[in-house]
Amino acid sequence: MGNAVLEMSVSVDGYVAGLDDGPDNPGGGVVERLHAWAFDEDFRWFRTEGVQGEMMRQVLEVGAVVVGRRTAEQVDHWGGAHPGGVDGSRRLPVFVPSHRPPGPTVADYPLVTYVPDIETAVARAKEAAGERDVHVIGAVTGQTGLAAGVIDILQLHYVPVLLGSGRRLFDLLPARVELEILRVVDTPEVTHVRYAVRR
Amino acid sequence: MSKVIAAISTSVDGYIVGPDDRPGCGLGVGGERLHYWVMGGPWTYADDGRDTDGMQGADREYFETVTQGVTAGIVGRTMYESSGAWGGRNPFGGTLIVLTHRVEDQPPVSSGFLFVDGFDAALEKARELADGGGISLGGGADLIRQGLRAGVVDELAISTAPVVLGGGKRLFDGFEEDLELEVLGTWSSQFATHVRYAVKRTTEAS
Repeated sequence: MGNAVLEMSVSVDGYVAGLDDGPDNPGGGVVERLHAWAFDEDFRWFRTEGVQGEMMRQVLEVGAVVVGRRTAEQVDHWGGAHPGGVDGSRRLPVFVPSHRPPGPTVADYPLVTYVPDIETAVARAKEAAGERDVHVIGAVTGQTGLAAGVIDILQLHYVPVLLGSGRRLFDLLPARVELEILRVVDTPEVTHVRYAVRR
Repeated sequence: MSKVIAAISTSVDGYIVGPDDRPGCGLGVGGERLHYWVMGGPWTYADDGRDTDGMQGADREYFETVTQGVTAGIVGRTMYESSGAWGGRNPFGGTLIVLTHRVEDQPPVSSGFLFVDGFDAALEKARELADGGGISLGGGADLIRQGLRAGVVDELAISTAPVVLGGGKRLFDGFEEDLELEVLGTWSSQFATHVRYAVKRTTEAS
């Protein structure tokens, strides 16, 4: 079975998005600064070659995603499935932990499943992913997953910038979590650190 | 002109000390984890001694490169207090400036500590003592934030220990500046990932 991976680009002062992150402004105006390393030059698709490309391929080759409701609704569930594979052509199942019933569009999306909590979301996503990893998307969902002990890997991409404001990756997690450094990949644009979550 | 280096250890969630830091518990409850890289492995506040003899490998390489040429240092009063004044004597050699509003209880010269009131005055004194060498801003968080806000920090060096502490004092709490950094070098061990960043100057910086 694969790992549940929480993957985030984060500024040196700990932010993963701008404060005015919302449906009309996904990422809150800092997307380019935090994510430039991951995209090709015109931001059309992810880099899939070189060191940064290797990082992105790990993300693209997952078997399912778990995503918070806020993010899922911002992008209307990516039109029914998360794009996966190096060229984005694989359609990945999406699991959304939420207490409330899904919005009306979800009835037309057989690959999108609403479940009551993060534990169920990760368990169902791992089943669906088989041998592949599960990509956990969103700071709030990620923190909930860490607190619940269902995240296996924390993959951070530290971008050399101080943003001074925004949404923090770690804002509501009061728990202590022991990590183990698995791999550090050092590039001028970004420092990739892969941690295993110790149980 | 002396180079100013702010160097500090943090957790993955950005805390430089865990909850309830105080003398005898200088890095807060459970905060020993932040300095495994300094001690070369697990240690606790109950252990004797606080030297860096155990530091090894990439941790030592990083430490040597970041302290090379540094001839003066500044720390905040809270860090000084919670370290127990390092047993009453400056362990880093030379004179360590302690930034504080309370200078009445100035320790004796032989302690190697000098209390100075005000960030600008402390930096001026450090430049004088450094005599062209580097100046380290050793923490705590407030001192480093003051230095970054004042636009005098040339280099930010962060050692991130592999732990989420879940509470304590954040390095960047209340810091609202937007600054570009440049990666100068990275060192990693099982105990920490160390990155040295140059702070890029903007044209409107004072």
